[in-house]
Amino acid sequence: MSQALIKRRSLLQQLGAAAFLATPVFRSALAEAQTQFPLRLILLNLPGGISQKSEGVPNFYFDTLAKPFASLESDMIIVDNAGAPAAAEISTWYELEGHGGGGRTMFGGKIEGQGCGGPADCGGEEKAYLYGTATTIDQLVAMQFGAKTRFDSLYFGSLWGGGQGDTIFRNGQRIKPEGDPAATFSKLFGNGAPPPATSTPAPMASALPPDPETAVLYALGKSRLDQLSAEIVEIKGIAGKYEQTKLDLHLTSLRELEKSLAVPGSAGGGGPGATPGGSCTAPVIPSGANMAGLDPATQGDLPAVSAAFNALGYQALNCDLTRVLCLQWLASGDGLVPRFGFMGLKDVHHGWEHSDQVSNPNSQGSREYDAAQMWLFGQMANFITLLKTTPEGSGTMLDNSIIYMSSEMTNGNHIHSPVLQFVAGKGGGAFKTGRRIDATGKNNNDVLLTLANTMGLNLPFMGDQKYNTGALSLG
Amino acid sequence: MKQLVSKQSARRWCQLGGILLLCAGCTGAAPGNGANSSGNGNTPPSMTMAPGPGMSTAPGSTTSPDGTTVVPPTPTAADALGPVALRRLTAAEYRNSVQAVLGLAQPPSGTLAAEAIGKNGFDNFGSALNVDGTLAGQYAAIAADAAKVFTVSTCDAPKAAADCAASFLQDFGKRAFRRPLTTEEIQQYQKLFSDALAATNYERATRQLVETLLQSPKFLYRFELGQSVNGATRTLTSYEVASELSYLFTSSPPDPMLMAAADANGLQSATQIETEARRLLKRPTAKDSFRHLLRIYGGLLRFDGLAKDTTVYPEYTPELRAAMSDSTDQFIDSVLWEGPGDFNTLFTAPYAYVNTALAGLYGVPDPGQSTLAKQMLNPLERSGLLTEPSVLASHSKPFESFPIARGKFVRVGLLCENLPAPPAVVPETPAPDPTLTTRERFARHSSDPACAGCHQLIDPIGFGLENYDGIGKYRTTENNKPVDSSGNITGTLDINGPYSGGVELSAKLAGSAEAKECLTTKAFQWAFGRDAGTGEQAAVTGISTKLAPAGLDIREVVVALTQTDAFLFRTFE
Repeated sequence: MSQALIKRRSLLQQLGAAAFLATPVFRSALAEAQTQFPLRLILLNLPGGISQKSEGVPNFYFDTLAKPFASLESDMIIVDNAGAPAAAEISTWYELEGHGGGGRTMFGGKIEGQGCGGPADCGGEEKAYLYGTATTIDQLVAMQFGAKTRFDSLYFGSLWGGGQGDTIFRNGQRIKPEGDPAATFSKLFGNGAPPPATSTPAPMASALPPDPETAVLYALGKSRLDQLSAEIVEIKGIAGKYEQTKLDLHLTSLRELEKSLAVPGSAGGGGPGATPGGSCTAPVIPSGANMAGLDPATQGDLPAVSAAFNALGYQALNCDLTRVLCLQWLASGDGLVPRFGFMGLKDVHHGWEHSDQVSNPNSQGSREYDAAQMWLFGQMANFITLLKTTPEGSGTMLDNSIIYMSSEMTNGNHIHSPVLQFVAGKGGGAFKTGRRIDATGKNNNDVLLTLANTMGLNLPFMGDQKYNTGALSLG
Repeated sequence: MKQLVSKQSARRWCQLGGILLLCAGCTGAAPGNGANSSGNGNTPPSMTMAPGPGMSTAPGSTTSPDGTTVVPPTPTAADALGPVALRRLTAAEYRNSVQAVLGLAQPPSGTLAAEAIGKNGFDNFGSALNVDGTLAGQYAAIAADAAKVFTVSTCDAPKAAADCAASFLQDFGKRAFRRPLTTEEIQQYQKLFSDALAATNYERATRQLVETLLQSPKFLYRFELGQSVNGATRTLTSYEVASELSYLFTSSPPDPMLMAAADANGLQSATQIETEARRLLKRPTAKDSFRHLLRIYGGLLRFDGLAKDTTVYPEYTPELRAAMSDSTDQFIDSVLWEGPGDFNTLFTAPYAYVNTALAGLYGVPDPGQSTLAKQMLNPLERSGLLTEPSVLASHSKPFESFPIARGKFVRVGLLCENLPAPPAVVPETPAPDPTLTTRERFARHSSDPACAGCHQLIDPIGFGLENYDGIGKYRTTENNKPVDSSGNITGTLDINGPYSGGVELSAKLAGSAEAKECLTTKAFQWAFGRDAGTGEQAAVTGISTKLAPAGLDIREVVVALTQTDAFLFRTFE
């Protein structure tokens, strides 16, 4: 009998009540018992199109863009041909524009306007834009299980360089990514200056001594956050409908702050969470550049920023600081900075996104688009490889992870239908990788539902129920 | 202004409301330091209000305890009510607020996430301003740093620590919340203080109050919830109006005079509001606020991070970009605060602020100084905001001018016209060709039948700005060929027709009622952090129509916005 099964049976005996078997808590506990290690969800956002494949071409192939993934084929499930049912059904105003509409669909599933069909109904375009999104899969998982780790979820990358691709939402409130690698380092691994690239790994800020001052600081911090939380609850009772969702997010943010308080006598950082992976040290950023001053919005910084966020994200998972991570390298519609100048590419990404890659693949725009997207695929492959090469139990971190990678649009067609999706990792043994699934007739809602419930949620559907046709069999 | 309520009567009302403790001025604050027990601002004191031009009186008058007739203000039009709102302070407003509350010489320098710039070009729409985990952590860090350096006054016997804390809360707390704390809030914070005192000492317990108040949602959000007066209509309290005014005109919390007016519940009529609006216009910090409006208007919010291809524009250094940005700010200041402050001047002023770094860009002699100084320019080359290099560069490609973006900016940004979304696949423009001008390459968009529908509305406008390269430098030739800067604008209400160059286009815009209404609309969006509703747009049109004949004084536009229903009234969605 496998170790996983022993653990599962033992857990069931302890739990007893049959009714518990159906609960999300059980499913999560089961997932952990099966894997011995925490199950992780990682979202990789590829902006501006994911495939050169024309609509109607039956099978995915590792084309120009996805070549860097070819060596990881055995670790992936390629979910091909899924998407919205038909372009004719893309009817709501916000879906007509691929950058924003697709961004909201990518990780949250296709959804109608939640009773808010457009600017006139919603009190303006901006609010309609926000109402048009429910909660993305990472936030659903974070809301359910985030308390187990110091950070409910982490989200790194660039968003504000002129892009439009908001991707992470919680109850209609958009979440911003951490864009500053140095600040992110401090947030995760302490307030000291990041180590030079060539230094040996520094120990993570932890193991605070149980001195009286720590107890005082904890008491003051706890008292402060209790007061602030009480105020949020009080205000929520008199606020308008939309403001209530805003306050909910604020309250969640305060709860996350509370987890960062150093608990007297604990191993630093205060927050819950084991350290299942390797040595939990602060990462050495392999870019060869000092993180200080790196800015995703600065021309030329993209390679160093990517390396930094890959390293930070990997180590955050390895140290179990979080089990939910989203990485994105730039925003959809990014039109401000020619970020790929380091490759000799002159234009901005948005310009390439509108190029006709399918019918005119040899134009200059298409060729530059290919080169940029292939580089981004390579960055994602680098991240996946970090997990794949980290032993964890009898397997690797990748075995205990679910990596979902997609884009807000198929290609330059600017629609989210069909859209290629990659699922990497074995999901703690739930998935059988190394294959391609023809998901014609399915939507990305179905894929997301499958992943969410594998993570331990017990959702009946993702996004709009009417766009759910049922979970996929990935096992 | 007809001030119909005295501070005395306001204080009497306050006392009758059973909140003597706060009204009596425990902190030695000015008389009339009114508060209420609900925590939502003023309980209306006895007063009769004179309705402003955009507000009317209504039936339902009541008699106050002192016998004075109380006539609640009511909105003119039912469809002109905006939603109640909690508007989170923007990063700039937050820094200014911390500085003001603590009396710092400079705003705090801690990291704060930049505000997202929406698709509409605004960074202050309330719907987008939330507090996620990153921002909450940044607020906590700034508050902790501020509390550490906060100078705590001693609490000398015979006063008990709790009494000192109460005084502190009534003073500091009021500055933080921009209104007096309610009795319940005082009690909550007293408990916070006493808990901290039990664990530490008076100084640290007071710092605990500072650190908490600077993260309080009552500090972080501007409350625009109002109080119910008539059915679904909610009237903002005087304290809420005080914040609305101060952040609008100064990007900062209310100053003592404004707080005094709120204490006296003296911000409930259009006249009272106008008086304060005009006073705030004269505050030095109004410059920052109006700069922000016009940077939004000019599409400049991203300019400070705008990159260019330095192989094409080697002179575009960070120093030049900074000078371009500062120069535009000074131009805006000059128009608004030294000139007539009107729309016409904004588009026709033939001068700029130039230093050594900018001399080459403007083609003028080097003034030999790094300080920007006003310089008259060739009036055939430059004319106001549209021909500012920062504006032109913002609507260009990294390596060349971009007639499409410039035309779209004029059509959408300056005329507030809508364009259909671009098609998914856009035929590529030919790569830079040393034998062709940009115009020649982009002409395809206007002639291709698949593109012409939209591009005929935008490209001919942008072609008229081809005298300016991708960083806004004036040019008469490109690739050794003469630049054709003939433009044409169609489909507008009042400025259709051909023109030549940016100066003529600017003159057209300066004379356009449509363009003036567009700026007024943008001012509304900026002022209220949301789009105008249908009824509100009518008020916008009214303001523009009234002010346009005299050139549309931009300062008067904003003052006029304070006189609309949108400023004082709200409703639940």
